[in-house]
Amino acid sequence: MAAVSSNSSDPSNMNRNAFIALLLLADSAFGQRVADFTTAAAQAKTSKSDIVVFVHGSDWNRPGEVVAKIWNDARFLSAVGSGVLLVDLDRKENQSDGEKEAIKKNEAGNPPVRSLPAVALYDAEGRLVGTVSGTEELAAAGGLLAATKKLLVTRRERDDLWKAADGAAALIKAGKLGQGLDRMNLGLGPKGIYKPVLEEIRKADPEDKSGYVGKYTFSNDALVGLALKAAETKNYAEAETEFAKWDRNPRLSSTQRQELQAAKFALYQRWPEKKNEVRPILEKMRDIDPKSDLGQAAANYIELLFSTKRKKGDPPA
Amino acid sequence: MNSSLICSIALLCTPVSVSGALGGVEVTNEASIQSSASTPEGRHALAVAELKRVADDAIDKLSRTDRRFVEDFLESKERVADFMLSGPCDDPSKGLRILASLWKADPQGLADRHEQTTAAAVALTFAMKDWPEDKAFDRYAYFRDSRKANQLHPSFDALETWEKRFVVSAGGNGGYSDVGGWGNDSLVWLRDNVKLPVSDYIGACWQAPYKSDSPFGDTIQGPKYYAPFSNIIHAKRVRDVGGVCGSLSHYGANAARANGIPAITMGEPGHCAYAVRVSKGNWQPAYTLSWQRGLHTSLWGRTWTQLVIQEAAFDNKAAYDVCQAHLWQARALKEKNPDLAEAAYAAALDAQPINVPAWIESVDFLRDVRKPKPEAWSVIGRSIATKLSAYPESAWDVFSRILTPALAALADDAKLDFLVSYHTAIAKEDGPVMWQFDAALEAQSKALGGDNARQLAFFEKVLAIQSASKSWFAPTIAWGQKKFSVDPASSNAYFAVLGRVFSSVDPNSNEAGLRAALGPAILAAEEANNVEAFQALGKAGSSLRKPNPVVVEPFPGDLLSSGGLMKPSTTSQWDHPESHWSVLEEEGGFFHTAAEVKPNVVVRLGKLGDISGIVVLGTDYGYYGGRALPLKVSVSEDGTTWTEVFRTTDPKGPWRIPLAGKATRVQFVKAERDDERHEVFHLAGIRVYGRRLQ
Repeated sequence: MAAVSSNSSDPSNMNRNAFIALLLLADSAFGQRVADFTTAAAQAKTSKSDIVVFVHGSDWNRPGEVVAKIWNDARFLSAVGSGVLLVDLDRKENQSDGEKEAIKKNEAGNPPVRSLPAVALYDAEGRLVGTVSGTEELAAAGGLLAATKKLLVTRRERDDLWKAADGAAALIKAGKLGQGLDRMNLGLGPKGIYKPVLEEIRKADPEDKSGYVGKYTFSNDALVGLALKAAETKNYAEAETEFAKWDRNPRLSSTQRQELQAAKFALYQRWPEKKNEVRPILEKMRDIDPKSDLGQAAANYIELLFSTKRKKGDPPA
Repeated sequence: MNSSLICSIALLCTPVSVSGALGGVEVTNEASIQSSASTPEGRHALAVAELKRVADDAIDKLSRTDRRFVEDFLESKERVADFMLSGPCDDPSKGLRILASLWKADPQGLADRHEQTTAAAVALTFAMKDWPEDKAFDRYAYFRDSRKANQLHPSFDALETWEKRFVVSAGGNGGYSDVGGWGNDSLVWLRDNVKLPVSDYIGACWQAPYKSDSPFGDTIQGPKYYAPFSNIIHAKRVRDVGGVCGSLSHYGANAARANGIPAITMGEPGHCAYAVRVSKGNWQPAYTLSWQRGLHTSLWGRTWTQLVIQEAAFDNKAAYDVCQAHLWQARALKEKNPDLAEAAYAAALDAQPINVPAWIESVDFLRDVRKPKPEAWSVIGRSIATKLSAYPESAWDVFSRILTPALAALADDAKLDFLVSYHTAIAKEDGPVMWQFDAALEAQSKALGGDNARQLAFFEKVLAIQSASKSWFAPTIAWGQKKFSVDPASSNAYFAVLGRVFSSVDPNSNEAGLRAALGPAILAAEEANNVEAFQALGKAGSSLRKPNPVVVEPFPGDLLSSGGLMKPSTTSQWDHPESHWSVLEEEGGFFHTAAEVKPNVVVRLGKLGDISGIVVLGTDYGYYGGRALPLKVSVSEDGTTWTEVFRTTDPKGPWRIPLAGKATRVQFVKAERDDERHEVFHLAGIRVYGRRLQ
């Protein structure tokens, strides 16, 4: 149980229900550290709390030691704000039997991260909201505390949007739900945990006027596959029609729009009558976001194809 | 001296005598062979003598400063041992030059023992062919600086030089990679962005998506796949753009090595995999699809067995060091005093009987210089097979070197016994991994020569010995099947052999004999997870099956189950193992377990895949159909952790299970009856469709 605020009212002056309500409020107001994710998930459901999971390895992850110090500092709990449950997920390499048993209770809260240390936020329903993994990402986010606060803000903004969606219908509802997904930038989440949200969008906007169904079912691989298949069967026009449909989707992210142009490039490269479209497509892809990796890749491809100097020095695959 | 090894062979060759001198070490008789190798001081003197023997010319050519370094270096027992007792050095002169250059560049840093072993590992690695000397310092500096900044896994601090060779050799396909490939820029990025518990590096390859075509539609097989992404560090672009098995395995292995953890990449048929050393002596293969592995980095050889046996040898470093010292003695003596050299080789093998390079060098010496008497070959063969029996592939690697001269020297009636001695020694050993046992049988058969009857006699003897072996029985059958059953003239005799070995009731009946022989052999192949033997035997049983293809609409993609292996939880009197093979094919097959609780069948797919769907066929959907229900189907990447993807109590099959996007990396599929009934279980087909990931 979390520490009860020192200026809380005297429980003797309240009836039993009020006392419990106060305790819940106290939980929510100050948050607490919880032994494991299973306990935290159960508690979060009743108290509607966020769960922040810190993943590290105390017996091997040296860069994580500095971050762990911040995490373990008593001030961290108050600094992250109210209504937050903190779970320490120590991925030790040498575990005692007791630790091995305890780690089983953390399995559901082990986020899909690429590097440790990492911080992850789960909502009250146990759904992943976001992660920041590795020292580089944590540093870029301004450190552990700033990263955690940003994740909490993300969850609140997402929920505000979804709350607004509850009171809306049709296109507006689909838009608010989609914006909530956008806010997390997780796609449909690990193991498709946000597929139900997509289904809600579909129901609210069956014709996908909002474009969000398209955005969250967009597959770059499928579009490239379509281009290559169309070139193989010389059924170019069908693929072009499909690409045009995607081009009309206003919701695609800049990365998705770049990937769409790349798929069109794959088609035009193999379509003798459209060879003159190749360069404009790459330029369009570049101009969507010139500083992005895909924007620079498009610029490089222009160099590769249209600069005789660079042709000789193609970097090896 | 222990007389059990080739020292006893020495007695069969020629007597030991005379003396020899190794640099400053006097080796005059067998006693001095032992005494000079048994102390650190003696080994140091022998190491210096050996180094001078192989690199004296190069040392003379060094600059004055470098020569001063070498003189100083040769005084240090620890530093000489780092260089000389950490596995072979391809080019000692180059290695010494590199070591000298590292010392010149960082004399202060190299006062630290950690940096000394890193420098030795870098020198030994960059002494390999095609590794650029001038890039060695950058690699050394990467690990020095990363370690000092606490950026590496703490286990790196405890690694010895030979272990660090599996770390500092980060690169591509066992070769050096510069910036733009798997060079130091990628190592820095992987160090800072992929920091995981050691065992998690086994799955790190999947941080990069498997994509054979780039976003621009360029194939990974061409030069333009990564070319437009030249602004991005290679490791990062593999993660962001993707790749196929080669890129993904290098990503996983180099991520481990960038963090100071030993790892290797390795070739498999049509595939690239990798392995991570998760703890001392414990290499775990990753993204592996076959036991046929060609290691890209290794101290002793390119097979998995060699990696395992090398670990076992280095685990007893004291024995390794003594063994190596005796080898140095032998090399120095073999021209001047072959008798004493032979004694030194015998001492090396006594010191460490599992030291494969010592065996190879010793038997080559015996074969080429000592010319053993005929009876000696039998002793040598038995010694090899017995001492290396726990590693049957390594035993064969050495045994094969004497095969031709031994068989040429032995009397006709002793030849078969000579070959059988190998099989007797290994029959009770499973070894660390499956290997090309069939190729060994073929080589033995060829060396034996003779007519068909002689060859079949050899086959029968080996089959009888290996019938007790969990590992070698099925491949022996498969080899015999391939060799003898194609030609009608020999197939009857082959079936007769099978029949006798399996106590077939009617060895003259081909069908009954084959069925009786194939059943246990197929089950043995399943038990041993030997896909190749299962496939060979399954195809061999085609004439015994009645094809009964049930047409069911397939899912998109390839039939990934084809070419794989299935293993039911039990067999029974109603089972037909010869029909197991076609359970995985469109042809349709059959298996039947015994009565049990939660019976199941596990299918290992022929190809790792992104599954689009599974079709499960029952044997019937009427009276006996309920035996499969409730039917639960699960998928797994590693055969250990399972994810349920389907459950039904509906007796109406075939059951079509669409899985697009839900099972993106699968190598195993399990179908089981999920209740508490004690009942048999049978199915006719498990067809798995999808996109191959290899």
